[in-house]
Amino acid sequence: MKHSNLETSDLILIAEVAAGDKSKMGVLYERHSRDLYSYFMRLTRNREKSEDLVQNVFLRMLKYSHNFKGEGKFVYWMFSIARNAWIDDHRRANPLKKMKEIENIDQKYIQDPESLEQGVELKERKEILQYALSRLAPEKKEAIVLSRYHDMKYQDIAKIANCTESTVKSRIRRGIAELQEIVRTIH
Amino acid sequence: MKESQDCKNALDHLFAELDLRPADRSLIAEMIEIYPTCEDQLLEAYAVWKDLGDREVSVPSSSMDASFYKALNEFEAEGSSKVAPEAAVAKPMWQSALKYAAVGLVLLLSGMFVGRQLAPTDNSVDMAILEQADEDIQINVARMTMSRSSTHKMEAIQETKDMDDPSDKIFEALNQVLLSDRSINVRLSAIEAMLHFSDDPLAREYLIKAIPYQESPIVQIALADAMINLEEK
Repeated sequence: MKHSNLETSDLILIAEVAAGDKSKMGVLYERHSRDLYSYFMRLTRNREKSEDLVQNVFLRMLKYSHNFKGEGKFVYWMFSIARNAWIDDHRRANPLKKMKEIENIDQKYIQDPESLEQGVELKERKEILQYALSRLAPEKKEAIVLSRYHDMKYQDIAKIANCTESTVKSRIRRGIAELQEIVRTIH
Repeated sequence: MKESQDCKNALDHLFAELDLRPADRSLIAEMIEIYPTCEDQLLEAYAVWKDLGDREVSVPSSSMDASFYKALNEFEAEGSSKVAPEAAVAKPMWQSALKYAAVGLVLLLSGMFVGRQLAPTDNSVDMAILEQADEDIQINVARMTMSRSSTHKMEAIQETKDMDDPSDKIFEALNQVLLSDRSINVRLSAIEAMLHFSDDPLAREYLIKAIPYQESPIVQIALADAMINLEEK
């Protein structure tokens, strides 16, 4: 696999972190924290939670830097850890509370005509699509976010998500179909 | 969504292509040419893909960075107190001897440096600052300049950014930190804080005057960025 200069520099930095120079994680943080934050924001639509998750990922990387074998790009390893952090967070969340939150969102967007009107007027289609994206099943949402916003190839998403490339493609296609359905329901 | 088998294939093909090339009009035109009966489905899927919007979302709060650097400092502090026994055993004796000599030299130089920092003249500068400031400012200045923990110093520096109109004493303390603190992260925080108040002539002056005293490339880059920022203002 060929690496760009930045990717090579990432690999050197994480090797230095693994060798004990933990301060080098600061450089990796400056490079990738915004991208990671954007990833979590797309998945959670929650700023505070996204910031916590970013920190969680960098702490995990500090702790487990010796596990990175230098196979593949650093960012794929980082996103694998990000994925696990997100899943762990998901598991910890109180399911009852989650259900309540979802019900509230549904009420706001679907049943309250005034809110619906305001929502449609506000940011119209793009706004609704972001809301719809947040309603997708995690694996579909993750595949769409990594492909659409982080320019990742299906084969790389497959490595991060521990599945096949065709599964990734299928998740994206089905996810997009579901987005269409949600948008239609709201309209 | 109801899809005929043909259109399922068409959509599969579309998403396979989206993995290989950018989503543009030529792509969708090609797809429609290949699957003319699936035009509506293809256009609808393509529109959703495009309308998902741009990559950027909101910007994280500044506390995210502060929390990270605080955690990093704590992690570094924890790590430095641990020793990996197998590493010492595996290395040849002469390497260990060299290592000990280097550590000794570093300790000697650090001792001289700390000695200079703790010399009465330096402390008297700190005390002179303290005497003239009010109580809150005194506490903040003391935490910035005298705390042993980098984390506490950075917290104190971050707090200065919440001040509406910081006094000259605060800028003097920030300048002292920028010129003499051992931690790069603490010095970077001081630059950030002074840049936050770059409308103040004293803050600008200290930023400019600090340039020749910085040896760390990271701090030099941060100061260069700060200069560009000042010039733009």
